[in-house]
Amino acid sequence: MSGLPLADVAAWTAERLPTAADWLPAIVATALHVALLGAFLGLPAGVFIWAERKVSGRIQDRLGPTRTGGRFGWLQSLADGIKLLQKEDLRPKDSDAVLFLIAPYIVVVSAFAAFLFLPFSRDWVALSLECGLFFALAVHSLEVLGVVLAGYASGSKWALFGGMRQAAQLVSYEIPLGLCAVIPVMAVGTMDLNVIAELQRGGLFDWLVFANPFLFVAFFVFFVVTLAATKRAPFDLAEAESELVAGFLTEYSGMRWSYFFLAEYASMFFVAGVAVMLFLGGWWTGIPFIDEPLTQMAGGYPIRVLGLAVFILKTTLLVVVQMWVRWTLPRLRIDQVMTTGLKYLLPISCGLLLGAALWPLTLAAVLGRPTLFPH
Amino acid sequence: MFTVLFVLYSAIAIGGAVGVLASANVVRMAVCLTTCLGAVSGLFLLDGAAFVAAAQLLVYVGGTIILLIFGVMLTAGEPGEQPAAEAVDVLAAGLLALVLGGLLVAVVLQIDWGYPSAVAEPKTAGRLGLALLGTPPEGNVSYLLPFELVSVHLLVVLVGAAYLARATRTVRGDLVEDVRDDAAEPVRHVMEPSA
Repeated sequence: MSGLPLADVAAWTAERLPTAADWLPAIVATALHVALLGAFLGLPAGVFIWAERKVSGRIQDRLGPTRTGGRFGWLQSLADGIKLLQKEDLRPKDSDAVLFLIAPYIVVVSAFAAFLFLPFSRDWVALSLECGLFFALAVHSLEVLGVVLAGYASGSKWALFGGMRQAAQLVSYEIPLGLCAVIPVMAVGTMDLNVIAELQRGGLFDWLVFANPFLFVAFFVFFVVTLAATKRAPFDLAEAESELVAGFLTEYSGMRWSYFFLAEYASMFFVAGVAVMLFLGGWWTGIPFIDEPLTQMAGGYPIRVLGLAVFILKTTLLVVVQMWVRWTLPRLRIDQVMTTGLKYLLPISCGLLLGAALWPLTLAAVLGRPTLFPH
Repeated sequence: MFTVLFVLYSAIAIGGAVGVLASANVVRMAVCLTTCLGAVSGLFLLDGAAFVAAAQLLVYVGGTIILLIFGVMLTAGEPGEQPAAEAVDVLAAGLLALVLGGLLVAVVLQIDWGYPSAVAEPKTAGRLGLALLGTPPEGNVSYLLPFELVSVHLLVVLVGAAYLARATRTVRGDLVEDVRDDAAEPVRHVMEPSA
């Protein structure tokens, strides 16, 4: 057949034009998923910003917020949000208008879209893909595009420095991040986050972090690299308020400014969630006599509810560790960031990858089975 | 639903491609290119080729475009500065565009556009890996060696470029010399005596 088959295209299109029966379930399902994930974008941001203030306060021997919303100041984030909404949306005269305005949205949308691929409990994932982990990390890495654009479009040298640093930092930390994510994937043989977590069912020692020594080290390397990927201290060179005013955020105000923070806290939750899925047993409690009966009960529904709670608990603990690190360690210099990434973390993660590949083969040759302990 | 999304993503991709041509600013061009490539990735995902879609996002949108913007930001002058085009450039570019356009139209007209009856099989990542290694049942030809050769070649190019571009810095006493091969005189900075 040659020639553009316009008649065919028309027939094919007419055949596939959605009817109301197609539209409604699809739209309802999409709206539901988006609303749930939107809650996971907004809630961690609100809760973690409050938690960050409390944690930083305690670490610095202060109280943190105490008044807004009662005794623990738990409404502080909401009050801040309302304040930010009312602020004037400023734009510098020298900025590139379009890019300046869309940059915060790029950051928020990529942080949000990464949640599409993250299972929150057994089978509770918006988009289940065989290469879910790969896709999630790919989408998440787009966040830096918004940061770099914000830095460029602001028309300010501080912002430009911040954007450049972020780009340089991302380029050097993306590789160890990918390599460390591949190590657990190699151990289980799939990139489907759901399956990776499912395979860590059983006791504490079925978690991938304890599966072999290389995975154990890889977890810590992964954690350090994700700190850099979410531009958290000690790797917050893009912001670096002591040298760059506020880095890429210098010229932003009001809602657009807070979008960057919404995205930052959402991606902290996201990378911690990925670490939990890959290394820390996903949604399993690690206590077989709790997990096993619940899995059998009522069509597996109770284990999903418990799993959601367990997953959120584990992830929140990791996020608190991120805050702890932030308020304990001083910021690195840009050359130290590069040295850490390229001269230490990159060779370490390459070595771990090699070791994790050789480990089962060595064990199979020496002990006759691919694991250290018989199952 | 599929058709609506397909048309939507295609429109975004075409819009991005037009934007690359229409904008005068290099960084805006890069952003339009990002939009275009991202929409193409959406099309891949829509067709069930999730692995290709993710690779497109990671390699082209996440990697190459960020490096491109990074490079442009390092080199570009004032925003809005437009490279001057001479008549001969316009002529050459027009001829090339015509040839490429003709070629594409010819190819499009020759292809039998059979539409897929069902969305492709979702589990492609494992099969792609086996096919790359040439492991049966996915294939008998291993592409591992060519793949490794190309990647080592790229690495050599990168190291070579970095070596050629960098200034050799020697520290001699309180003098720091930046020696470039093309510089007639080494640039000397006298280091401040440290407190």
